[in-house]
Order: sequence, then C-alpha cells, then structure tokens
Amino acid sequence: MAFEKRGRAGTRYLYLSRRDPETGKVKKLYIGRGERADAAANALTQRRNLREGDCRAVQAHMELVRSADNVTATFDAAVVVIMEASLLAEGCHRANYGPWRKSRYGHGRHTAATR
Amino acid sequence: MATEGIPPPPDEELAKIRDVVGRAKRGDATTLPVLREMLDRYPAIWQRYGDLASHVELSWVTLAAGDDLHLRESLVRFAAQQRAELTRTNAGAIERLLVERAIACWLQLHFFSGIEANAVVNDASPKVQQYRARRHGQAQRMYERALAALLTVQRLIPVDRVHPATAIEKQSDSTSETPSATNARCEPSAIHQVGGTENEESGDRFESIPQYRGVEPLQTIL
Repeated sequence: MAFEKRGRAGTRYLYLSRRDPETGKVKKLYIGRGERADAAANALTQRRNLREGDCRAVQAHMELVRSADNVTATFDAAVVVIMEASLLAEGCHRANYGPWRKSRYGHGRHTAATR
Repeated sequence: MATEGIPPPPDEELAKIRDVVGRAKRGDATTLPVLREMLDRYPAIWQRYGDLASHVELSWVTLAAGDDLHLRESLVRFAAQQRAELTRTNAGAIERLLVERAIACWLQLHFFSGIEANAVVNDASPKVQQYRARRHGQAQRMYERALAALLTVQRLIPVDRVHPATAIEKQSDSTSETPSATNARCEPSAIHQVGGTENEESGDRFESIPQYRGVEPLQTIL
C-alpha cells in the first residue's frame, strides 16, 4: 500500500493515487493514518487479491480452452467457406446477408441475364 | 472419415512407418519423399490423422469429460447418435462436414454449460461467472448457426443432386444404429497405432475410445 513515512517518528500516512479524468494528472488522495489507515489498506489489499484471483481464473480458463477454440475456429471457418461455395455452385444466392435462397432463374445472375 | 476397405499397413511395415513418422514430426525434411510415398501407399493414415473434424470433437470431449471415462464414452456415443440422426441418406461431403461442425458445436456448448453450472455451484466470483456466461452464450449462438447452416444446405441441396463420388450410404435406420455399430466404422486397426507412437501420454488417455484411438491433438501435427 502507498504508505508514506513522515517526521522523525516515522508516522505512516496512507495515500491513494488516482488519475484525474478531467486533467489527466495523477492526484494523491489522503486516506488517513494509524488504525484507520491500516484497516483501509487491508481492505484494499483484499480487494486487489480478489481481483487478481478473478483474472487468474479467467486466464486459466482461456488457456484451457485455447487449443480447442483454435481448432474449432479453423474448422468452422473452413466449413463456412465450403458451404457458401457449394450453395453458390448450386445456384443459390444470399441477398444482403439474408437467408440463402434458390435463384429465381435457377442458376444465378449470369444465367438470368443471358435469358 | 471412412477408412474401411483400405488395407492397413502390414506389421512389418508399421515399424518403418513409425520411424519415418517420428522423424517427420521432429521436422526432419529428409523424410519427406519416403513419407509422401507411404501416405500414397496407405491413404488410411492421412485420412484418419488429417481429419480436422475428429480433432475438434476430440478436443471438446476431452475438455468436457476430463478424467471421467463414463462421461467421455457417453459423449462419444451421443455424438455418434447425433451424427446418424442429422445426416440424411446419401448425404454429400458438404452435408457431412456441416454435421461434424454441428456436433463439435454441441460438444462445445455442453462443455460451457457444465462450466457455467459449476461456477454457480462453486460460488465463483461475479467476474468469473460473467466470463463463463459470455462463453456459454457464444457457444449457444455458434451451435444455432451450425444447425441453421445444416438445415439450409439440406433444404437447398437435395440429396439426389449430390455427386455420387461424395455420397455415403447412411445406416439403414438411424434409430436402430447402436453406438457400437457407429464406432465400428472407426474400428481400431494397425493404422491407428501409427499416430500414437510419438505421444504415448495423450494416446493412453483416449485408448478407451475406439473412435479416437491413435488420434492426437491437432497441435501435435501442425
């Protein structure tokens, strides 16, 4: 914690550093000293530990599924490309990212235009 | 990938194949001509080992089941049943790929459902629960997209238009197809032992699943 020692007795004063959103500069916020500062510091440490634990849990989970995610994404992308190519070859079309439909003339714009 | 009808390499060839595959996995470029010749001679090797859909399915089954062999076997059998139910008779290669994708997405969804439920039971922090719920939502949407794509193809590409070379004969009755019958399509043979030579640890984990015998995670191939 950001305790600062001052004076000959070495009294510890707790400050928090916060960036001012308006000016963008870091400002020190005085919390207190003595028991009050210790309690605040403990609470802040616990909160930080919890936050770090959450981050570690999420990171561990991401690491666990990373390999499966990568393989799935590769397979998924390949299948989508192949599916779209087959549907186009079948004379289907997809207007403005809507559902796939059979072309009115059966074989796409080129055939329709040449009719 | 169907490998039935393709003769597996004889036992005396297996040792040589293992040696070549092992050196190729370590990046020995001098093995490439021999490796290519072997793959040409025994296509069952690359048909089984290069099946991306199997690797995807294996990844999610492994994650979802962990050390629970009962769950693993059940997932494999349920996936086989779904495969049989979703695939039409004489389905083409595209439809089979889409079915594999739907099954992979279902396994992924199953995994994230379990993870999310465990997070609630284990009283995980809100941030972790939020992350898991987000992943569950992604998996759900992916599964819905996969099913929608499959239905689109089944609606727009009739089976009689499927090229005969890519068509497969479905089992006579999907409901009567037993999981053991489905797995029999992937009956372990000598060919499966080739892939498992370099990674014995991971190989042991899946030896109980006939469908996955000899299949290693994709990252070991690439």
